[in-house]
Amino acid sequence: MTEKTVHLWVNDRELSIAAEPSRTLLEVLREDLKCISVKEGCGRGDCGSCVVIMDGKPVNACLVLIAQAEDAHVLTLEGLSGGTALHPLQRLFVDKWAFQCGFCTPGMILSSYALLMKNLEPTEEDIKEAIVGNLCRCTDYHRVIEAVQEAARELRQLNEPG
Amino acid sequence: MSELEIVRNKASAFGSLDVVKGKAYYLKDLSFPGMLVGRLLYTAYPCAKILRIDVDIARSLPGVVAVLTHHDIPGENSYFYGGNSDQPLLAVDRVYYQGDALVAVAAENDEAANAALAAVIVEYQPLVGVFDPVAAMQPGSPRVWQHRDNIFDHTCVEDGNVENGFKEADIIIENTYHTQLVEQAFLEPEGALALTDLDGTLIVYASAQAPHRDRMQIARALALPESKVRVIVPRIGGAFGGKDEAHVQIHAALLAHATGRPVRLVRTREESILTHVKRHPVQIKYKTGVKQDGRITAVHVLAIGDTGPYVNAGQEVMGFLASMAAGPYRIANVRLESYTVFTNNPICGAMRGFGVPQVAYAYERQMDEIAHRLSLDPVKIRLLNGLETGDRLPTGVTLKEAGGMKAGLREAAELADWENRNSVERQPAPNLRRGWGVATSLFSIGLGKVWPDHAGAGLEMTLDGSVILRTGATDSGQGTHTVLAQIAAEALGVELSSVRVITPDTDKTLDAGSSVATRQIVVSGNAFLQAAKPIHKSLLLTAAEETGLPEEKLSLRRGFLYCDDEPLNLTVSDLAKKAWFKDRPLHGEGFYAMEYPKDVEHVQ
Repeated sequence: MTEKTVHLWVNDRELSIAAEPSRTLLEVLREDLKCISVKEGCGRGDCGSCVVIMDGKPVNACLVLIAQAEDAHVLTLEGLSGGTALHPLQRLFVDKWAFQCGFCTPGMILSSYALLMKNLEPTEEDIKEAIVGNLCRCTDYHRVIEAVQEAARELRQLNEPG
Repeated sequence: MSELEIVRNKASAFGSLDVVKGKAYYLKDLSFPGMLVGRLLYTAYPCAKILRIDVDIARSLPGVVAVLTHHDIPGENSYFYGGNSDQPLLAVDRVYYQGDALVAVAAENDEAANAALAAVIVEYQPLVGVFDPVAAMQPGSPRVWQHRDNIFDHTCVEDGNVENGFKEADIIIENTYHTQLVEQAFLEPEGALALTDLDGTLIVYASAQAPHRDRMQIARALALPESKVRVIVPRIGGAFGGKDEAHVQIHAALLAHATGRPVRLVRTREESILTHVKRHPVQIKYKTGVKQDGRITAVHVLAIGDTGPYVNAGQEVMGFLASMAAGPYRIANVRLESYTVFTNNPICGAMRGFGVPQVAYAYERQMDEIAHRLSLDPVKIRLLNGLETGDRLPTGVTLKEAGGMKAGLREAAELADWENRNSVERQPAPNLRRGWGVATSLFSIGLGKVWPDHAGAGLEMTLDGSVILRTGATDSGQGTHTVLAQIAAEALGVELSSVRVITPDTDKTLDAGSSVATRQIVVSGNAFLQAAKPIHKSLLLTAAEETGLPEEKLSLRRGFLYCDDEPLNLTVSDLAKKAWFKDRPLHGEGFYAMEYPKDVEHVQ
């Protein structure tokens, strides 16, 4: 198949990538761009391990063809908080033991991040809805919910004027 | 030391910052220059004769570097687990279940590897399979194996006189329970990456629970000395028993050996579900004899487990199920029987609980029914029959501690406000229902008398007092490495942050056995206590000489030297340097083996 040049931003870096249009965003992120935080658990959109943020929305990168990412802004866990400082979600996932093996964590954090981008006062139901597509097999989801609630609280305080 | 300084405190899990930054390396995140894609061809039928495997076309395709069949295995063509070698790496003339592999391929990329699999010609003669374990036990049933009976094992744990026990009973409750096959569904599918080192050593990275056993199996299949194989375990994306037995690490090693190039072989989710061992589906006939007052006089259990076609840990799981089948109750007369039965269904073996979840479901349903039939409280009937310290289990083991069976149950009932449950609104909202339930279970840790159960441990203190901990125990996220580091820090009197963990690598870390059976904190933990002793001794001897104080008054805590409870002006770092100049060892190796009662037959 012939390659096509795709133009997109990944973690705020503008890129033009030559790729076969049938390849998935997951493959390009992992293989070409070495974004190893994007995990493949099932390759068919069931587990949420490969969730990234595309134009503000969480997507399963295994279900997005690279051609569909033309001009898109993609955020992976490597790019959260510029990849240097810890975002409150990252710190709280550690502090609240919101994972064990950690394979689901990149997707879980990014799904939660997408929620907090538009809603800093999420209810428990909002959080459950946001992570409904992210499977975890080790821990319980309660710790994730606690971490997200606490992160929302911190971010609200940061946003308060004065 | 009077009290624990490190172990009693919570700690962030080892490696957790890497996880949240997305920098934790799992198997599929590793790659090497010139690396090939490995893939396996799985059977089209669960039970068939193989008449022909033709790989000529597959071998001739562009981008295909190696196509291996059972002919191309230099050593033994079998897994080797728990002493059993009945499962082939690549099928020879029969397939026994849907997860059997026939051909291994290494190619330049996914497309070439898939094309090679598609080009392999296999002629099968499908056979009548065996898919119902109960039917498989009947005389005249088709056999899974020509040379083995479908009933592989019968375990019977007996205590007292079960017939007399039933005669004493006022009522007898008998039910048949069925549990289903359960898939671990760890999020990271199994994978391995193999390559040859400059000196000819075969390096195999694997998402695995038992690196040293894997090393043995790889060497056995490749006819290499074990010392020429090195297994390294990166971060593991879940396991739950499903990565205890080797999966594709032997195949990846065969392909790397054949091609001379790095080969990465990762199962797809579908292949993962087809292949690895599951939790046994079990049919359990449970008969309980009970007095009017709720005391149980006798239990007879007859459990039939569908173990699939290969032994794996099937016999041990079903044996353990029998050992634990009376539950955490004091019952004088029991007969606890289990059958391990071959079928052509998926292989069953280790999966969280090792047989206990199935039988706990049965005995707890029995307890509820007894309570209901006798109009007794479900908590009270469990307390009435519950085990206490000093009681003897049907296996003959005497409980040194009852594990909080009664105290825990009482506390749980109190927290749930059990007594007042009937006065609480059961339907607080139109779409909500409230209910109360109680359940207990009996479980033991360790490998029992069936398998060797020991661990080695390595510790080294550097001249600045920081510590290198080398463990062969894998951590799938449950915190094993964190706790071992805490134990080492405690034993050496340093801060937890002073300990660096070297994760399982058979060239660097000692054999600790598999991370299964809730055993590592006990076996490896004790081994690290041993490993710390020579280092601790060097430091304290040196401290006594430096201070002129008696050694027994000195201790090390969080990096400082103490005399009784007074901190002195010497750090562990100072002492390490001085000990080194005095030619005293700053490293230690530990070894610990579980102890089991010698006079008891069924112990786990």
